[in-house]
Amino acid sequence: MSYYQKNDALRIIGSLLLALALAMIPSFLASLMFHESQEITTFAVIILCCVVSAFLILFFKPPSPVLTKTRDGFLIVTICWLIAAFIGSLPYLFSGCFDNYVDAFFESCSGFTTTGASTIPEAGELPRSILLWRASSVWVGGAGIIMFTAFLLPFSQFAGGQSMSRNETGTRSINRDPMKIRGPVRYLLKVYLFLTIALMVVLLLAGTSKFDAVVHGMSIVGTGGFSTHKDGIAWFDSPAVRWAVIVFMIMAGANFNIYSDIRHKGIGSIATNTEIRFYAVIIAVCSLLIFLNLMVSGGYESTGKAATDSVFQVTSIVSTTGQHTVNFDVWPTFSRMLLFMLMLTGACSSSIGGGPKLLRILICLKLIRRGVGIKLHPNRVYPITINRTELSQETATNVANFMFLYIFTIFAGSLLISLNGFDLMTTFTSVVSCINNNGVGFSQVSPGGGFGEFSMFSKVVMSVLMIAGRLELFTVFMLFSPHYWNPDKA
Amino acid sequence: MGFNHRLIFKTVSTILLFEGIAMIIPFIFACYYREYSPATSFFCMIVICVTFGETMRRVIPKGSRKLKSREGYYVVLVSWFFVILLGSMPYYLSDQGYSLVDCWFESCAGWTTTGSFVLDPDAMPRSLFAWKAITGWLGGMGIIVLTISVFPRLGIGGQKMAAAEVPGPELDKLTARFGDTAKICYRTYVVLTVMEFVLLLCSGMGPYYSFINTLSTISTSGIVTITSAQEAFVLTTYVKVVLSVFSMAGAISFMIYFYINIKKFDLVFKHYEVRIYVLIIIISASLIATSLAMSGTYSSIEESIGMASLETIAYATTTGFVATDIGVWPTFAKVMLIILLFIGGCGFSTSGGIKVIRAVVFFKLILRGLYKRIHPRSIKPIMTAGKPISATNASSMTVFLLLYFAVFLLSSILLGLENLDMETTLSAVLATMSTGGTGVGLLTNSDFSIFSPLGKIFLTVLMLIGRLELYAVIIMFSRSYWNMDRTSS
Repeated sequence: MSYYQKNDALRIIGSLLLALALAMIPSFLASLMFHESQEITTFAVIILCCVVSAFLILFFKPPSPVLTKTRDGFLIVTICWLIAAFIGSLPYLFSGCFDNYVDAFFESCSGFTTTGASTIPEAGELPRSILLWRASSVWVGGAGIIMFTAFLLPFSQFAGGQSMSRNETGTRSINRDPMKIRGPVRYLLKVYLFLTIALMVVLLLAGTSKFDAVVHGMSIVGTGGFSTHKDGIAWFDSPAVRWAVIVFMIMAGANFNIYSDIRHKGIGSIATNTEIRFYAVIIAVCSLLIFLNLMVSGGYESTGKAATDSVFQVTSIVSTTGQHTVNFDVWPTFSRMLLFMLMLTGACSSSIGGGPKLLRILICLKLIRRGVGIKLHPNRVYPITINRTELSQETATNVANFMFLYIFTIFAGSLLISLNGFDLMTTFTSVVSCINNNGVGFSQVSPGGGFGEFSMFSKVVMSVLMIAGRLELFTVFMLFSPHYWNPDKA
Repeated sequence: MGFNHRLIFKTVSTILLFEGIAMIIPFIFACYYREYSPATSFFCMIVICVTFGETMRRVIPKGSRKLKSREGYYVVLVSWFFVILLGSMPYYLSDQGYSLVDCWFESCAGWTTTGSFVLDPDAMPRSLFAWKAITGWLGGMGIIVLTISVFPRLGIGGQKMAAAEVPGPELDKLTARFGDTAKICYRTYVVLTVMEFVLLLCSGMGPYYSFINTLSTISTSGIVTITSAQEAFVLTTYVKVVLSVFSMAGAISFMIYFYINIKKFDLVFKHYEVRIYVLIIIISASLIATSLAMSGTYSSIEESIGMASLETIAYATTTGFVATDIGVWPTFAKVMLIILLFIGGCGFSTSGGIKVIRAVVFFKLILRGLYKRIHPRSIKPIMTAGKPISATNASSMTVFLLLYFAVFLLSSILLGLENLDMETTLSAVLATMSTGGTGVGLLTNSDFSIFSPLGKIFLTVLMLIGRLELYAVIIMFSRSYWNMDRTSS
């Protein structure tokens, strides 16, 4: 490790502290408004500490003139998420809602990674300021992901005519050219903010309380599964709320670059974007299949409710939001298996959602098709194209590598979680739902269940899995490689 | 330019001739045990297969053109289809009231060395049960390999056909002619079988059960559920050790035996894949034993270690014999067994799964991925046994692995229509695809009779997919396969 840009790293952490303090202000105000005395002091102290340390850092550490390397960026990002999860866990701990620190950390991790898995079975019993803070942490995590993908993972960011192959592996330093990255990021953040406010307004119009609208607005657009009620969205009992949530989940799970494309090239760009088309087809086909399955199996009396529930659960799982209107663990196996598959695909690249991303799934499917084609015609040249751009062999290999690491992590994680002795589906789906930042699974972790039963060790493992999954696995796992700490020797 | 139908037809009829000859053994069993209706059905099938096969083999002139690789896949699939179909006939014609689907399932489970069952094995006539064991034995090494070893002249496209039939990423050319390789393989196979048979006879098991157990472990089918046959023979430690050792022998690379054959004993212990395989088994067995001992499933430590080793080998070799109720094991042990079932045995062996060598490449690709993200411009090949794997090979293995998981997931969704619980659904797909035949959930005893006829047929397809390593079956669904002269997809 020859030269890390320690100053830059510290300054980033300083800005993070400032952002966290900013994000806590609404919760602080809420605690004032609802007269939750313990939370008032907690939030006030934490905000004060954050602001003071942030200013100290930003004041004493001048920005360094050397560009930060991408490789160092991975370490910084991981540290940022850990710090955010740590600071975010403090309000939970001091408010006394959680028995021990691990639970609080798990909850906070689940927030900042936009997972939405909870150890609290009865959300309604929490103080309101804490509920608001959970949703705020999801929202901040979502905003962080937008910046993370734009700065560090140029993989998914090839809408602006850049070829993806160059970006997947090429960048050696974080691009700080304001014309190239900052503008688009600012635009994406604006879209994100706009979506959130729009959802809040829509929910208000649909008749929810102001508090519920704010909490759900932040939680859903950040693709987190937190709610203010145990039954989730089902509590509202209003089709308008459900369909509004569905629409916004789809939008949060879509590739955000599409919004700038729509601005520049018109609405037609939706039809030409391969990934968005794939996303739309998957949602439509799976919803239809589940709807038919539900109707045939006869669990539902009303067609409308079956349709709403199937579309809701499909979009909630594929966008990795993890909200629920119904306990889908009682659905027929075919529907459950479809949802399980959707859990393994995740949302679009460059979206707020987690998982391996549909773009990678699409590339893998094309790789398979090519592989079968080559078996038939061994001398055939068979390029893989995404959005009519040819994909380099190297990118394809990287994508396959990612999928392998993903599968490996699921199995390794399941082995660790299986020490709890829960049944197999609980074990596997809890791991999948953590890596994918989904927040729900089957069996014990199905909607209505929760992660409270797991052992301390499992919760720590799951927190690591959530952060690893959120930061696209390699970011975190490369820190465990000895090569990372020995960068000058190739 | 279509398929080389003449050569394909000739090959298939020759293979059927062999199936007919193989049926003589269960026919003798049937006569001995005085099971008249199975005897009649075997006799009919022998007459049909032998006359048809022999006539066609003689009548059809030798084709001149060589086989292409896609035709190799086609031959293998067609041969296996007919072999399984005719193999199911003895069950169907034996007047036991079995339905055709059940017979087809039994036959497929036999030939693909899956070893699961839908018909109660205890109630089945002994000759039919012996037939199932024999089909497993033939299917383990491959019926086409057998045919080629006897008729090397058929092997014009032999290498290509065998490549599609023998498990494993690539077939090393051991001898100049493929026929010789096939011969060496089968010679070794027979020697191992005889050894195990003699060893089991020594335990006082009785010739019939020794015969069945030998065939079913060496071919990694695991037909006999050991618990259900308790009354027939005593499951002593000696028997367990013999069964485990010989299922291992069936699941390690046959390259080892080739080395022994040419007396290069130093290479035996240096075989890369086998060493990793043994390492995997030792580590998993000790982990499972620890987990069993900690959870207190068994009263004594020795029993935990014994059961852990036995079942680890049963799953890792995809034999899938059941000596104890896996259902009560701790979840950690179950997850380990599932992972072992995914990995399977070595390439170029009788076992199923994705194969150890591919699992190694899988792991090394991940490591390389990590390395390449740290050093984006580096060039780093995948090394196995100190040799780099060519980019073509690496990418073909990548595709295989991706395809394996994709087929696994999609099949699980389709099997979800059976509306059994998720654990059973997923493990049924895994058990059939890996040709292990035993799962978790409701399938810990390899009894698949809970599925509907349609589900059973689907599972047999999965067995074939698993036995023939995906491509032979999957390319049937590819459009360019059917209009071969146009290269556009």
